[in-house]
Amino acid sequence: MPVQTTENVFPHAHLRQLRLQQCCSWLSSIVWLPLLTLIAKYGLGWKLDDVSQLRSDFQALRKHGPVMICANHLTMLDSALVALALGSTSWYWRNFSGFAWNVPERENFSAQRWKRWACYMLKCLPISRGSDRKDIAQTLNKLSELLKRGHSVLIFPEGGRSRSGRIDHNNPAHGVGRILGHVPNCQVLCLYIRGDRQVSWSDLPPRGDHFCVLSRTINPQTSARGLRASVELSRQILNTLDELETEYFNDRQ
Amino acid sequence: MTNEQIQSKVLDIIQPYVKNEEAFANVTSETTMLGDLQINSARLVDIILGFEDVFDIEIEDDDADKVNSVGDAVKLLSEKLAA
Repeated sequence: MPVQTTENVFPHAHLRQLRLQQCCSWLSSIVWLPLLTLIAKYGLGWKLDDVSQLRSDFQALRKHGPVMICANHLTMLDSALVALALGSTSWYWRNFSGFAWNVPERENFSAQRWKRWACYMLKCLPISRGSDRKDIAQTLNKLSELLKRGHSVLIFPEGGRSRSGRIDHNNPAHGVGRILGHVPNCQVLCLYIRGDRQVSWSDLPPRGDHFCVLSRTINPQTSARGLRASVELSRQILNTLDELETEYFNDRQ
Repeated sequence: MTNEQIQSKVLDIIQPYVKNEEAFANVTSETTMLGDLQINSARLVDIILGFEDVFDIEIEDDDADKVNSVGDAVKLLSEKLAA
């Protein structure tokens, strides 16, 4: 895979931390990856649409350069649903960089030690929304670097679970556009995943639900510069998720 | 343009997004936008785009990261206008 690196400008200490986390996560995935699949399938009874075509498209896409995954956000387990949609346990073991890095809200995972550990093992880089912008910028730089190095990164561009149950444009995560601005030729795999019984937002998806998975790959472009470019790129992604949502509801009329 | 004039325009731009009116009434250059004025972080981006439009300048992401307080905004804008 052609991977551009900026090792000369990206702090080595951060790189070492990320490599260590990736290694620990991969080793522990011998336990949690099959567990995740078993719990989702038999414990929670989730059923996903046929995702074989999506998985092969995702694998092909990764061969052509960086891939950022942007999904809609309705429940706290959406990242698990995305992982289940994009690869099998055995594929992730062989291609662990394809298991996406995740950016959860720190507040949701920092209270208990086991949650912090789980967060670390599940390739999460927690972020505090509304915190010091330099801290956020540091995390965004890490994500940009990971993408350049061929890792997948999952971001929810709505900036949180949508309170309306529909794609929420009110509090967008402009960091998505900022990352794209730093990663040349980054493809964005937009995913719209929704359970048949998912009326609005919730903590967990309903037990036994069937999930529809819609996808579209885009390569956002803008002639704007600076912060305005980040905003424009983020907007293009949200608009694509909007279109996928419209498709979802049109199919159900 | 003096720093006082810049600050006056900055306050005009941020006022619609302020949630803590009391803090805004007693605003100083040390007043923080997210903490003291309780401005939503997504709205901070709108504010910085507002700076670009009103002052006819371009603000990079890295520069935007430096804006935590009203004084930071005034300092950044005065530097940009002087450049």
